[in-house]
Amino acid sequence: MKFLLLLAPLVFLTSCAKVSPWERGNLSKKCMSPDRDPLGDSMSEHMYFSREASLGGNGVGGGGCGCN
Amino acid sequence: MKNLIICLLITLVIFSTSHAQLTEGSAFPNPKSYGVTGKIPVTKGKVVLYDFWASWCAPCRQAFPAYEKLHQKYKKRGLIIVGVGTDKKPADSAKFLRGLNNTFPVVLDHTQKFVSKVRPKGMPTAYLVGKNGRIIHIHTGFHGKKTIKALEAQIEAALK
Repeated sequence: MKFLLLLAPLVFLTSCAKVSPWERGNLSKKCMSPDRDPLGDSMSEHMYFSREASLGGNGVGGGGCGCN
Repeated sequence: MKNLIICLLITLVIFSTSHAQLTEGSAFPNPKSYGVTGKIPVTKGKVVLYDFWASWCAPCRQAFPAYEKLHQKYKKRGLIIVGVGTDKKPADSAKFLRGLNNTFPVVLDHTQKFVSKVRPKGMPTAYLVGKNGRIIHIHTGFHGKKTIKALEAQIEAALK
């Protein structure tokens, strides 16, 4: 019985919920997109790898010399 | 062992709370029973294509002119196309419909009770319902001519 009482809150504490297709209005908004400014993103990525002399992790090609 | 059985039972309870999606062959629910607004045509004994759409969904907008063409092509043979708007805000639905000039009926499900019952996999989803009220074909998404070709084949077979 104690075991059941301990497990019962787990049923209510499961916080993962599937967002149904008809409830994705907010998710489809432009502000929710991680790449809403492709030009600005590529610029900042270029600045970053030029400054840090390192490349990778963003899907950008190149050898890390900061010259491309 | 007893604890294991209890755990399994709890897991079953958790998973059984999810609702089942409608599949081909199952009876399509009557929208009138779920508080949708708009003029619902008489669909008894007719082949009906229900198109679930949302204002924020770009393919839904592309699908509307194509469904209008289907409506013009098959209305004399008895096909009824019903658009089902699933937006919570009526203003969003009105904005979406502005300028589309569709002549097939559109009903609005602002309470989302009807769409929650049907549970489409994505937006848009088309349900072709046969004369007996059972689902013949489910098409998720809109892929232009490919979608129309697939739907036309099913509609032709259903109208025979």
